[in-house]
Amino acid sequence: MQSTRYIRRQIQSTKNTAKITKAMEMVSAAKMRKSQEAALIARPYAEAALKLLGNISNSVESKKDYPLLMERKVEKICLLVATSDKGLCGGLNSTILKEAVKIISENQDKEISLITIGKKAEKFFRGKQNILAVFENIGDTVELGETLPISKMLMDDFLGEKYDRVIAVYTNFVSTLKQEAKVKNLLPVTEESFKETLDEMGRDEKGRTKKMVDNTEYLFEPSAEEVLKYLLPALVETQVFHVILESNASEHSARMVAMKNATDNAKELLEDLKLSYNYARQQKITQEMTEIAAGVTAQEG
Amino acid sequence: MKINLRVVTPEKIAFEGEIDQISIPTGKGQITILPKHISLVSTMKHGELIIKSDEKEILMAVYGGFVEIRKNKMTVMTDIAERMEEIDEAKAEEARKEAQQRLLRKDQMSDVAFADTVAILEKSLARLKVAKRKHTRHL
Repeated sequence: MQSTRYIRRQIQSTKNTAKITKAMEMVSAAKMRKSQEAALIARPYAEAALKLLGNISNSVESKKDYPLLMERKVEKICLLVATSDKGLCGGLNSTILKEAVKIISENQDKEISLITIGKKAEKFFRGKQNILAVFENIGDTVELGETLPISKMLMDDFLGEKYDRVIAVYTNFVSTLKQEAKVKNLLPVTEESFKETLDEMGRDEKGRTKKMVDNTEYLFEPSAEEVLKYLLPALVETQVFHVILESNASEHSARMVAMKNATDNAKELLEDLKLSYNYARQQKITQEMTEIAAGVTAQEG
Repeated sequence: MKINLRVVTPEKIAFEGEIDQISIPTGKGQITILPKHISLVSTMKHGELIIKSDEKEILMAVYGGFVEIRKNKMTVMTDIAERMEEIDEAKAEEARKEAQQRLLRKDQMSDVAFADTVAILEKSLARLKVAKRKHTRHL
């Protein structure tokens, strides 16, 4: 039997841990709400931009002049892997890393380089793969400006033919309880991948995706070509921004759930500990009483 | 007859509502849009949006993007949109000075740093232009 003092100490430390995990749960819950909002609020812009793309591609005759749209023979792939900076968020990061490893092993005949977002991805791939760039400490409330260096680097290198395709691996936020690993082609820009992004941001009020292309004749200023030239980078920027927003929302909800589980477990453990504490205390009392009784009997005898 | 306007950025919807007229800094120069305008798509530079609705005037600093107009529905897509009231003039002024200082030493700068500094300068100029209006107007 363990001493009561030992058990009491254990109870105290479990209580403290539960307090910490509870606090972390609350913090994550608040952050999650904020990041979910941010992900939703980015939607009108993305929608408007996609609509514009649909309308313009009708008016632009040849797509050959836009390298960001051009499909090349894929020999070099760049993976954009988005994980969190911090741990304690359940299986979130390991799911992403597994997915990334799967893609790498599927494309062994091609040259693969990585751009990592978040400390966890960098730690995992360091020394194993060719890492081109590392982005860390992207805040909980991320602004578009913070993601621009990432999208700029991707586009510059893609145009400079450092790689022929950019694939993003990140967690898609489905609901508080469900986040899934997601693989998406970022470059070259295709309408399909962008539509997918839009779907992930949530459907419009009526619960369906709007018809994106109509036959309105537009006046383009300065010209359709010129507008498209500006629009494409903006689309890529939005997508990269979206990847980060989704990852953020996923990270916080995963952490919240993980911390909730931890708190629950700690409470369960506390119950068990209390039981054995009481058991030990009672046993001690019984033993003392037996000893006294035995002493009295001995004196009387 | 009014124009239904939406000003959207990747971070928020900066304005939404019915307006009478709007002036925008397009790539080719400032234009003013009135209701029943022909369907138009245009690029936008940094500068100010002047929105007029029911005798009221709303000023916004915008930084690059696109404008789309179709059947009295108008969408302005921009990276940054700030209302006049939100702009911190002192901060913008500081940013402008800093950027101009740095540009004086441009031969020591990399291309990227140069482009960044020019971007900061343009942004703060757009902000200042809108902020300066504060003094000439009573709100």
